[in-house]
Amino acid sequence: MTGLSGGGGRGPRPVVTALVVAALVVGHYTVRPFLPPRVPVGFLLVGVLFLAVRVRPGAAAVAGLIAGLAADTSGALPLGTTSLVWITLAFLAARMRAVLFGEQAMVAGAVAFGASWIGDLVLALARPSGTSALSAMSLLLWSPIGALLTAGLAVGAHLLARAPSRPGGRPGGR
Amino acid sequence: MSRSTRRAVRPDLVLAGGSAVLALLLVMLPDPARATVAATLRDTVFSPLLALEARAARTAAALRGRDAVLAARGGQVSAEVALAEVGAENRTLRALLGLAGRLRQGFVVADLVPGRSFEADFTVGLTAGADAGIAPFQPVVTARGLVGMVERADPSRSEVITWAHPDFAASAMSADGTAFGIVKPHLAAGARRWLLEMRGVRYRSRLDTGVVVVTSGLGSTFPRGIVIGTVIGELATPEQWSRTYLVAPAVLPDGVGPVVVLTPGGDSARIATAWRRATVDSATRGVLAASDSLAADSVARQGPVADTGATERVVADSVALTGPSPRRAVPPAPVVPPARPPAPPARAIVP
Repeated sequence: MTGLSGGGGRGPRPVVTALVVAALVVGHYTVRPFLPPRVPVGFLLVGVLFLAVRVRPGAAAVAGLIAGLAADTSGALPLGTTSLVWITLAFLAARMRAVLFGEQAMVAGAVAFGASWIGDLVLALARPSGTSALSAMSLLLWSPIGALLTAGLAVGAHLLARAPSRPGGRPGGR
Repeated sequence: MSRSTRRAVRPDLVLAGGSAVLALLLVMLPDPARATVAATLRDTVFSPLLALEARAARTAAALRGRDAVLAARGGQVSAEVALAEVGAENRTLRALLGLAGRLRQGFVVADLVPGRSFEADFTVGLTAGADAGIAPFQPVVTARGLVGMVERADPSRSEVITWAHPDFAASAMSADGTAFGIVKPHLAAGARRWLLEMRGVRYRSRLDTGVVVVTSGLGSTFPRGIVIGTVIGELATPEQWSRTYLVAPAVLPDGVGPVVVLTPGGDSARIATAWRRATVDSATRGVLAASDSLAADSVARQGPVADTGATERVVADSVALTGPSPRRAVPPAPVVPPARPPAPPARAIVP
């Protein structure tokens, strides 16, 4: 029910999905250190959203919880803060997937952009007052740039997942 | 909604609700309990991933430092080709100038955890932890001065609050030991947020602009003599019997790279003199460079006389000046006074 092929046959390529998510998780821990810290690229967030549109909303929420815990353990926010935001985003993405979009890469990119930016805003508001010097410039300049890169990553992940489609099969194997 | 649809949606809501409740419980936990849970997760489930991150961070740091290393090597080769002996002296001098060389023992060198910016929450993470001897309340420094204090130490990682963190406080004094106070972050808006305040200075202790502020050693956290910053002015406050000074920090956010954590095994006398020597050596080099310029100017004004060999002599002198040998070394002037008798406990701070 909550597996990768759940949701009425959506995402029938669980191996590819698992590989892409694994690559994003590994990328979070190996590629991110090479990127400037001002522009956070949300590898884990893209992984969560990528998974969310392929599994049931319940499983998407669990993925958001685990990924959020992973982000919080290596970040400075109180444990559970990122999880709360990502559970919400993953659940909404999984629910919207059925209503608004399927596996459209550009839509996924737009969702990743919005989720990343909104997530940054919410997490900035969640910080205790006086413990952050994140300015409006950070939230209006660096955060959107990071969100754009995250969106690009999401588009790339979706295209990657769709690329090796079977001969004669529809993109995404659907 | 049909019965089958409701049946399908209910488990999703249960899972999502359960996840949200779990996350909410974690957020609402008391800080120590939450830190314990986070440490457990770091040491168990996420341990391999964090180890991967630490390795990537080291590689990234090595790559970022590559240009500097290449430039240093290039300069070194040039020096060796031109003046092998001066090059050797320079290398020796640079090694002596290193903070680690001055401290000798009682410290741990640690890299910063990547992906965290100083500005985000005034904290930094270190890729070394309790296994390396790091414990809470240990001072974190660079060769320029004080960065902050260890707040939490897991086996392999640790969390540091920097001088800009609202919870930061350090007992401080002027470098000549005439004025004591407590340094805290200047909680202003904009660029002034990156300044410090030295509060509670006796009214008769007037500090001029440019006076270096160091840790006083009172309390149990920061040993005496670590450079905190430089006085840049006095703040007008309602307090009638004490003064508050604005201090420019010695370590700026952009300047925080690999850091040194001072552990209990260190020699307090060495710590007290580690930054003093750097300051004095810097001043000495400035004086030598200035005298070198004067000598060069005088040669230039002499005109034709320089052709008779004076230029070579001055250049030789200049070479000797810029690469001071132990015989020419100027003894360091006492910037930080020798340790005073213990101050009354009322002045000690507990961070």
